[in-house]
Amino acid sequence: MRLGMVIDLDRCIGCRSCAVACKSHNAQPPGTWWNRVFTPGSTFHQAAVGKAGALQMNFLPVSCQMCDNPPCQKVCPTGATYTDERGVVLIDYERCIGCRYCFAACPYGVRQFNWEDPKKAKERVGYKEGYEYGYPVDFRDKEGRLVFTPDRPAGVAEKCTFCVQYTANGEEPACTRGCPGKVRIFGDLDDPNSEVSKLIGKRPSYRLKEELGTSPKVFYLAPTKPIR
Amino acid sequence: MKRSNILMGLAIVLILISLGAWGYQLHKGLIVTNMRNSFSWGLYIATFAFFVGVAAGGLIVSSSVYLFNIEKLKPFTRIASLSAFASILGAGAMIFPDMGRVERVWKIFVHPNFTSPLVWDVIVITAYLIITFLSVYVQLLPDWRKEGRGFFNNWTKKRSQEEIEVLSKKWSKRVALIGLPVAILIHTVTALIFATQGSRGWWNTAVMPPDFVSVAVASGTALVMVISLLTVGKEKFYQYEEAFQTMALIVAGALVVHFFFVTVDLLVHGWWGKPEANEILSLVFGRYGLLYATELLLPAFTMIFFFTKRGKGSFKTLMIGSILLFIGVFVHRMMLMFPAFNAIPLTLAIPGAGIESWAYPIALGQFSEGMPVFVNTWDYAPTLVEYAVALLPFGLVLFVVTAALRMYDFLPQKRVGKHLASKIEQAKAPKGIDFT
Amino acid sequence: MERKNLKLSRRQFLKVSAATGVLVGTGGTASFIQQAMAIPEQVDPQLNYVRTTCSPNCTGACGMNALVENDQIKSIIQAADYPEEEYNPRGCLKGLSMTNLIYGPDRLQKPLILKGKPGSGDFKEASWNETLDYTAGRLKEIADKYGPESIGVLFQVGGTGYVQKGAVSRLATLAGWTMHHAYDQNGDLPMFWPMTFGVQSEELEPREWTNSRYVMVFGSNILATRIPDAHFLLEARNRGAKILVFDPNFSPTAAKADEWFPINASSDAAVALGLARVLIEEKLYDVDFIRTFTDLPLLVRLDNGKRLKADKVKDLVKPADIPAYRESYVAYNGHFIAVHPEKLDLPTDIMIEGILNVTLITGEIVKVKPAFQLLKESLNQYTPDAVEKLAGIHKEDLVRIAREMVENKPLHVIYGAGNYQWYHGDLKGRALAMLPILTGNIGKPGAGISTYAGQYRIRFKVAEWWVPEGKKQNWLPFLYVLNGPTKTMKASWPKNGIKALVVGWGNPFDQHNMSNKLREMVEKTDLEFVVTTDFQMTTSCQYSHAVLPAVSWYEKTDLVATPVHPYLQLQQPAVKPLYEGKPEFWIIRELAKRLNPNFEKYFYPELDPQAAAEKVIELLLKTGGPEVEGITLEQLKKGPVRLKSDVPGGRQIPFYDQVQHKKPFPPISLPAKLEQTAQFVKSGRIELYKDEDIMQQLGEALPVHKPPFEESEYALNPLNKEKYQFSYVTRNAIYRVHSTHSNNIWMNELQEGKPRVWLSPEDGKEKGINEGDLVEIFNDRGKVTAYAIIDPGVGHKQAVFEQGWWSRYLKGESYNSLTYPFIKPTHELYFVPGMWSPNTAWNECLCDVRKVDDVQ
Ligand SMILES: Nc1nc2c(c(=O)[nH]1)N[C@H]1C(S)=C(S)[C@@H](COP(=O)(O)OP(=O)(O)OC[C@H]3O[C@@H](n4cnc5c(=O)[nH]c(N)nc54)[C@H](O)[C@@H]3O)O[C@H]1N2
Ligand SMILES: Nc1nc2c(c(=O)[nH]1)N[C@H]1C(S)=C(S)[C@@H](COP(=O)(O)OP(=O)(O)OC[C@H]3O[C@@H](n4cnc5c(=O)[nH]c(N)nc54)[C@H](O)[C@@H]3O)O[C@H]1N2
Ligand code: SF4
Ligand code: SF4
Ligand code: SF4
Ligand code: SF4
Ligand code: SF4
Ligand SMILES: [Mo]
Repeated sequence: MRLGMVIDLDRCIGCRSCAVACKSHNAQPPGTWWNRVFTPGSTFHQAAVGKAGALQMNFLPVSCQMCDNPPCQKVCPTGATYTDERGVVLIDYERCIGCRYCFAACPYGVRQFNWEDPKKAKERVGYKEGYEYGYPVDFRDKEGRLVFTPDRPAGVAEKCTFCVQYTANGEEPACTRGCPGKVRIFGDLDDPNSEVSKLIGKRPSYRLKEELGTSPKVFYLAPTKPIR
Repeated sequence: MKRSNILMGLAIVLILISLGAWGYQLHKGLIVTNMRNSFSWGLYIATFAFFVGVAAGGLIVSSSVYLFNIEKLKPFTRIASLSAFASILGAGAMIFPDMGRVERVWKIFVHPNFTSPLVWDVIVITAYLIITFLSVYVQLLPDWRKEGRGFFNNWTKKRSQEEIEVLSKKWSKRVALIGLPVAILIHTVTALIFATQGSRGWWNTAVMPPDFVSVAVASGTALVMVISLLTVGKEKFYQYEEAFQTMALIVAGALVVHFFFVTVDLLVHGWWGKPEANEILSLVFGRYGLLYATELLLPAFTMIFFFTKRGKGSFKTLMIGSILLFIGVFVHRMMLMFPAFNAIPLTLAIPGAGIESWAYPIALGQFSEGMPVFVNTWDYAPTLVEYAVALLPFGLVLFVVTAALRMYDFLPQKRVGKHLASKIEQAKAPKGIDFT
Repeated sequence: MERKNLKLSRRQFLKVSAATGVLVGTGGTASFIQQAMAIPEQVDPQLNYVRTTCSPNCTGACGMNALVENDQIKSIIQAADYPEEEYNPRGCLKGLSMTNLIYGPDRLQKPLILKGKPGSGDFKEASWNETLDYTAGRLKEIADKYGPESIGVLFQVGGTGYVQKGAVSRLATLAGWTMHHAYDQNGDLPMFWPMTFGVQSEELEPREWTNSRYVMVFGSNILATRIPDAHFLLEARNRGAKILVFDPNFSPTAAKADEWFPINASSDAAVALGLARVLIEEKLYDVDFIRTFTDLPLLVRLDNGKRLKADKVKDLVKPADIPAYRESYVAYNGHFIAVHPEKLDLPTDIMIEGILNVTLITGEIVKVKPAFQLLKESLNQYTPDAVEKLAGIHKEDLVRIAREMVENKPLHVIYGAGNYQWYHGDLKGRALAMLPILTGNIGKPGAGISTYAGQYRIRFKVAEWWVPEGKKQNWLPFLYVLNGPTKTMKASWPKNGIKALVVGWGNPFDQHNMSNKLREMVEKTDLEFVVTTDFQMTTSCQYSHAVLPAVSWYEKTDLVATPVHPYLQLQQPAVKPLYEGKPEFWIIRELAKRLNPNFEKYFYPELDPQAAAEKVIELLLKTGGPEVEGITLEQLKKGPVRLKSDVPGGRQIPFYDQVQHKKPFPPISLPAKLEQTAQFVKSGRIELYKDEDIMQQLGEALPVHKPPFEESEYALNPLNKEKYQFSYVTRNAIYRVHSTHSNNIWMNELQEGKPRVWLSPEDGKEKGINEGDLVEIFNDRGKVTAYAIIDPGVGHKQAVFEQGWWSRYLKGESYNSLTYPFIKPTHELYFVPGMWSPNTAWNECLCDVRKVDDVQ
């Protein structure tokens, strides 16, 4: 099984709901975003790009590209970053030593670091005493590696896990469920009958920075609307 | 107060400041640095790379003695080894404060991932640490034997002084010869940490490892020279003049090679005119132009200077040239970071909008009201805490070198005729830096 | 309340995977899920999902599941359980981050009584008893002194919570207070609806969009303001519909459209009239449709501009069976015909062009013309050349669009709130409505004109709960509170004016304090007492004398319905009320009994608030009429239930019955009675011609284009023309629901927590303003500061501000200190609350901009 995601840019309305769903369900502290949506070319999201007469505005969600040839994993000295049997690149929060080599390696800027104790950052927001958000239960893989916890330790790296706590139980990732545009399709790239495989076969698709050979498992379907 | 005491005191103060700052950092998290997700390595890694660089000198100097029969350098092989040992110790120490979870560093040894250049770097640096230590050790053995001092040397008591001297010579040579490739390896592997990264155009060049070596040869040799100069003192300078000139020539020669690499690297970066490369070059020559100029011009000056008679001709000029070179090399190490991290890897061309490279913003990992969370550039400047923590290797090197020089004689008098030497010593010794 | 345990049973799981399979249209996903299921579950059995409905004032009413552990909501995710897959999943970034408000730092914890000056934030915490006694005492005093009608009640829109808001209406009615309707207060009342169709407002449900072939969007930023429905627009496009966006500013919606026309500010009427002219010139209109369903064949007297009434014509007999609110007018096909207003049938040879003499019963002979003839003449001025000048649209485009419209049916016109929130919003709407009318695109799938504002129309009968025992209610359009009474107003002005406000579900001190009026009124004690219920410390709370902590919609029971996906849904408490917060029902009941012991019995005194709310829901379902017939509370607990409609498939297609079954206009527009709304279109037809005096005096008998500002800003102060050249356009942002979520940390992370003003590069250059500069937007009435975004898509002389920021983020100023409560006289012609009523014109506002450094 090689889990992947297809993001249909033609349908993406740039609403950033996926980013927020991800942030909430994965308990990301303030300042940390595993999933981002921007308007390429624009200094501000949803501002027009180009010159009068030739304007455009497209939206590009970017989270971990789940590289098949993941540089982050290759550089990780401790093997804290690894690819599980479903093809998902994960980080063992208990093994990561916080060297941030993976940050230098990842071409997509998706890796996030806990520069301080996330609890402190959350405390500063002023939530109700004792309140913590996010899926409240730890998730360990078959070998017992801690790959999701709402209480992230300080000093470790984190990133999109394809919502391991959900998808390992057969549920869809939060961003897929949270996308009102029905833009994000999640499934098995090895299964020729999966919706993801079919879409990739049917419509022109591309991957980010393909020339780097990272072989992402996140595929983008091109927007059909041209510049105007 | 003895000068060495002052230096020891200074070293201890530096180490204490650094440890204090590190303690604070451990308590608060790396948030006290100015590194963030988009600019995830800074002063610490640059300092690490700097010390890895200067660590080369030792074994290069001593092995040249054996490999190229540069006898003139022989008196400085001990200092060279000491300098190498101290520097690599400093470099190694610098890595720890950079870790988010330093208490888990052992995991590298339990679960090493051999595709990671970092693991190889740990291996070669550890190896180098051992080798340089051995190098110092075997070279000091004869003296220890004679003076009945030192450590791990009980076994020498069973042997004669001559035996030990022969042994020391033999092993010094062996260690130096094994050490040379390791020295080259630490630079190569350290450079490979960067150079392997296809995501960072500024690093991703095959020239980087050889260039690292060339810079290391230059700066490492310069460090040996500086320590030697200080040990020898101004007055005795002329006794070792030839040795110093040789070292200066090694420095200058290595810099020639360095500039050759820099030139071809820039040419290759620039010639094709890829938007990503243009972006990097514009950072290098634009936003960081001043730093880059420093990185280029100071060593260039040293190079030219050291080729001139005047430049390599006196204590003062050699010191000045070397210090300028250190500054240049340090800036060079910082310049590994700035253009690399401020050229966001995920850049996109926007057809139809005339935009060739638009950087996809990265979340910083910190939120404070009214400040952006997503950035496509980060004005990294180390915080006070970072500066303080980064004093660690400086303190350690100073400490180790001063302590060693104070305890043991690193400048054997063999080179010059014994009588002459003692005469000179009697006459001039007090003017040199007093390490005893 | 049904609580679903997270631990999925095999069967449940199969259900989930089957549903997902349908969603992505393949069994592949299902099979992968099955494989994935082999991995042992690591789920804490403590977790529950509670299905409820998000219901802020965007009226999206998205079904949500709250993930609850230990009585805390950990995360929220779309329920995606609508029986029609097309509607799944609904939701947006704000709904998903409600936890930040529920558990956030601005959450009200205790009742508060103002100690210092209003706005000072100087409150004392008090017990519920003390605060309620104080509030009731003050309200009684004011009622005794000025009359109960001097107490105004603002409780925002009904559709987002029929039970709790109903309680407010119930008490206000019992106590004889004055009620302010949210619809016109918000500027969301598109006045062309009652004028043209005799209804409050209507819209196609978004699923219908995919049936259209030609979609013309006039200033509605669907991608930002109808986030859960925007995909239907793209699906329509991908099925071959052409999407055209007319907007002075390049919006995300424009970016996804086939074509974007950057027309001049408030010039939509000119465009529509130009298109109508082409339709008529080239005879592209649907003559059958206009003959059958519109007033265009009806004759208009040239002597007085009135429609010719049947009983005024010699030898004509007015049909006898006509209700009092209807009128029989006259048409001609060789003979004069008395047109029956309830029978949509006219001979095919009816005359629509020309001029006639008609003899009245008085013997007088007058000239008459069919309304169509008048329309045609009036449209003459809107030649493509003229429209190009007025609106800035190329004349070739105009002609092309008119032809395309006819070739590609069904045609759907979407008329945005941002667009009708102008002084002449009614005229623009009447002009735009002509496009589907002339082309026969009304009452058919995928066809018509829709306004997607807050979808506030009450969807079923609520009187049983809202209006106790059929008592009379006092209504006063809120604009009068700000503007003062006018001579021409039809609503009755309380003799002492409004002296106290009871506020709930709204934040008028940011959203409605035009010209800083509301704040001034409190500061000068014109408003002697303000009490607000909210769950957050809003600006309005800051200006209140008493603050009553309510609870969010995750902490109480209510009933919700919005037509943007016409489902009836429950709100079920996911967690217990936080802190000392209480459902409004409880607050109102406590207040009621303190105001008058007799009132308590109207509020189920024997039941706790949740149980009472369920009782009310049962009552509403029982008495709600055909829309909710047969729907039970039990059904709703299982999931959303579609509102009933007469359209096959239960679809929401306005005027389906009228057009398919030739029923007279208007259909019933709840909650008004037919006799109230039918008077708007007495002919029983779609009316393009309005013969009321004021319409004629203003030259608006037929839809015309009137440039912005002339009857508003320039009339207020002629100097404005010189002084202020920028339009202050306050549009909605994806990050807020009006002012709700202003303080949501994640929303602020996404936009640096900075208010912005969007300017065109040319204007930026002229004003010396660069991207990121702090800019002051100002006029004589007020100012607001924001950071500049220089956007090549912004129109000339537009200062576009994303509305809804709390004053806290604007140096204490409300962004509404610049706007003004203009009242257009045609809106005062009739008065039916929230139907024909003066509508607010937020965008009718001039300003100037300057870099803040320039300010001394
Ligand atoms: N995210 C979010 N969604 C919301 C809401 C919210 O607060 N946040 N609020 C809801 C409510 S209550 C409402 S009323 C609706 C409002 O939703 P919309 O009707 O979409 O209103 P706006 O965002 O004000 O404006 C939409 C567009 O109108 C354009 N416009 C302004 N003046 C004119 C004009 O004269 N002519 C033309 N052609 N275009 C013009 C503006 O440039 C802007 O692009 O949104 C609802 N949905
Ligand atoms: N200049 C300008 N002004 C505008 C607009 C514009 O475009 N430009 N838009 C206008 C439009 S279209 C509208 S609809 C209005 C909207 O104006 P409002 O409806 O006043 O704005 P909201 O921010 O939605 O206010 C809702 C308040 O109700 C509170 N609330 C939410 N749920 C509950 C609840 O269950 N109980 C209680 N007690 N309180 C609750 C929220 O915390 C929030 O403070 O603004 C109008 N104002
Ligand atoms: S939620 Fe969906 S539509 Fe919205 S930005 Fe994300 S991918 Fe695009
Ligand atoms: S930061 Fe953690 S995950 Fe990243 S490379 Fe270092 S140890 Fe691996
Ligand atoms: S996108 Fe980055 S973090 Fe994700 S797998 Fe690829 S390299 Fe690793
Ligand atoms: S799959 Fe999960 S973790 Fe990854 S971006 Fe989506 S929500 Fe975030
Ligand atoms: S804020 Fe509105 S659109 Fe967003 S989830 Fe809630 S109801 Fe739906
Ligand atoms: Mo609205």
